[in-house]
Amino acid sequence: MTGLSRGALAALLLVGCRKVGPLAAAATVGDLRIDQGFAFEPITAASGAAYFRIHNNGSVPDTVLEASSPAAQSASFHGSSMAHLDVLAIPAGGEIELKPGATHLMLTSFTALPKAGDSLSVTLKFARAGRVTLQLPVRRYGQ
Amino acid sequence: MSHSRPVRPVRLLFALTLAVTFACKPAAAKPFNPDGLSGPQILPPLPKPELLLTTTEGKPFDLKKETEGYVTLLFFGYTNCPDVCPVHMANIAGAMRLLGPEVTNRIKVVFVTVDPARDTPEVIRTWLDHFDRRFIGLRGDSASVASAFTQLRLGQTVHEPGADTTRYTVGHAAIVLAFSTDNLAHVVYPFGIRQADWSKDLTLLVERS
Repeated sequence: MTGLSRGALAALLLVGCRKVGPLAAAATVGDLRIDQGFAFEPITAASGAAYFRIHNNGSVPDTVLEASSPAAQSASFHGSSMAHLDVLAIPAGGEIELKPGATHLMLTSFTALPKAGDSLSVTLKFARAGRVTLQLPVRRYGQ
Repeated sequence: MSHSRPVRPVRLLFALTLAVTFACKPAAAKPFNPDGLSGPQILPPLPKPELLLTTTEGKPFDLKKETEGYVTLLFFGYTNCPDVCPVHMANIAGAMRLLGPEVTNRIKVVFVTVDPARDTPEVIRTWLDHFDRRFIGLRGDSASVASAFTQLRLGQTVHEPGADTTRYTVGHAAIVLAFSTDNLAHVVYPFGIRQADWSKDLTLLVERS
């Protein structure tokens, strides 16, 4: 196999991976690796939810201070009982996972309704690592 | 070559009498069979609550009367809920789509809003139609819904401490109660039940009713 065809194969694989929902939402910022991200297609403009996993490879904790999306007027973190969470701490060498039925990013008052198959832009601001923007694949509830 | 003897008329009559006796017993006397169900069994089973609310079409809805004879899924939630409520509804709707009318015609799915201030009949209807047009949407005063919670002992079974004034939270809404045709909920469905398990359980609940 020539170098060129190997490169082409790698490119194909990369493209193939990008079509797989969770990997498309991966991003790295500083010591943080964010992956397995997705959002549900909001049923109405009132509210929706987004999820991802943040792994901290560093030796100091970091904190998500805020989240925002150009598609929604506000974004806030909630626990499973819908209790509001001001910040999310990611321990050094540890990870947090947002998932349905547990901690989630709640987006409210959508100005543009993302549809399944679209991607939803979400920006996270970390105390140490700074800002990172994710493109979360959108899927329907129940899928 | 046969080991069986001819059934004597007296014996047959006795068997028939027995069959009729059992057939005429009320359904409640039949012990509930939890085998193979994904939803955990609750003991003792919970009676269907007294609950008089209004449908999204503006008609009065007496829960017991309107769901008599049906396997009834009862869920409390609100349409602004972004996480647990729509995931539950979508999974039940997905399961219903997998099942034939011989099963789904014997099921009623009832959604009761815990947020009547924001959940107008139109808002509820639009939201439910997104999942399944057959889903029944109910709205009523907070006291009636609170009374249903008390009857269902929801506060004691699923609630986080100190959350009794926050009916908006998912703590109340995270479970779906499944009432059999004996008007008792023998099983409850916490968050995370998959569509395939829902459709298997709904089939079993209908078969055993």
